[in-house]
Amino acid sequence: MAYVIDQSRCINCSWCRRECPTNTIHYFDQANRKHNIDPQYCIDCDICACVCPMGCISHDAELVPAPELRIEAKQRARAWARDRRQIKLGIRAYAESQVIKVARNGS
Amino acid sequence: MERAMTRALRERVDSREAKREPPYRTTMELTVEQQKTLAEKLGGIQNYNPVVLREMARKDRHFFAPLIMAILSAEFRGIDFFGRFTVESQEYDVPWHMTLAFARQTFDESRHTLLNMKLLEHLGSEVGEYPDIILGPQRDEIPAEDLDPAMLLARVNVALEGFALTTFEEIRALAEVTGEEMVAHCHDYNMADEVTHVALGDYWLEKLSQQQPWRKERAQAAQPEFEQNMAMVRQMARSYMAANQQSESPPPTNGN
Repeated sequence: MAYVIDQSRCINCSWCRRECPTNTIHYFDQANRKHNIDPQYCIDCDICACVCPMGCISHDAELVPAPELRIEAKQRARAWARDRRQIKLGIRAYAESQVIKVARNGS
Repeated sequence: MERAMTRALRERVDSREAKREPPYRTTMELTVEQQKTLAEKLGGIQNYNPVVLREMARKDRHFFAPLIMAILSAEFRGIDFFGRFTVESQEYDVPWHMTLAFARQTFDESRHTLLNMKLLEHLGSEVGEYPDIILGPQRDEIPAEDLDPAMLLARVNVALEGFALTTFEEIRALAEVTGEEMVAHCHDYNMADEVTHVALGDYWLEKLSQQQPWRKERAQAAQPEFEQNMAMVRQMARSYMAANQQSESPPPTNGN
């Protein structure tokens, strides 16, 4: 199964595209200037539907990605999650060190 | 050709000094002493950045104030930008309803400013304690062809305000988990307006492009360019943090 965007309600805020772990939501290369999900790389994670401020992304049971592409899509998602986690932990560690530094200087 | 009304208004605005007290000033415009004070408060001037401040606020609520000030200075810029856009869009062949939509958006931006000023007070700070952030080019630095309403809509309403949705949601979620109910409530409210702004921008960009298709191509080129710039800024922040962490970590031992 995969997700689809109701293009008549989409406002092109790009939130879903920026959050998609498999990078399968397209916008800049679309002739009609609308967001579109390529179902072949959709892993059914639901992130896009959760972040959409218009609630215009829904499940379409009839869209079934090819199994061989699904493996590649999951690899993409794993790499994405690893990257995000590293960035998040990096920023948090840095921020924590700065908070300690400020507290130490203030005392 | 500039209309007399717009010219008169522009001259009036340009001849006046900033009314905000204290006036708009970026980190670079602070005196050496003020920069030192800011560095002491935040652990370094480079930390005056919403990405870092958000994580610092997670650890200590005192850092919510500079974070809100960073957002607030973007709202001040928003009033200036949309106020000018409302007037200047009348120089182009655009529907009157579009101009009215941006007058409404200017009103929204001023409401967000008031909201964030009250939030600053709630957090024990005030406008002036922290400097303003630099957000995009100054008005005089924008090439004339980029002042076409479709380009401004693509860059500001659709691309920039689209990013703002994520930022407000991240601040709202952070405020919720750290027990800052007022911040969470206000940012939830701000976000609802941002959704309207993106929708307005997208709607009018589409309308203008239907009348003049060349606008669609230029707008489509402007958006990825904007995103690349945003990605570059984030990348720079990450590399800075990585370099800083390495320099602050203890020296490696020889293994004995």
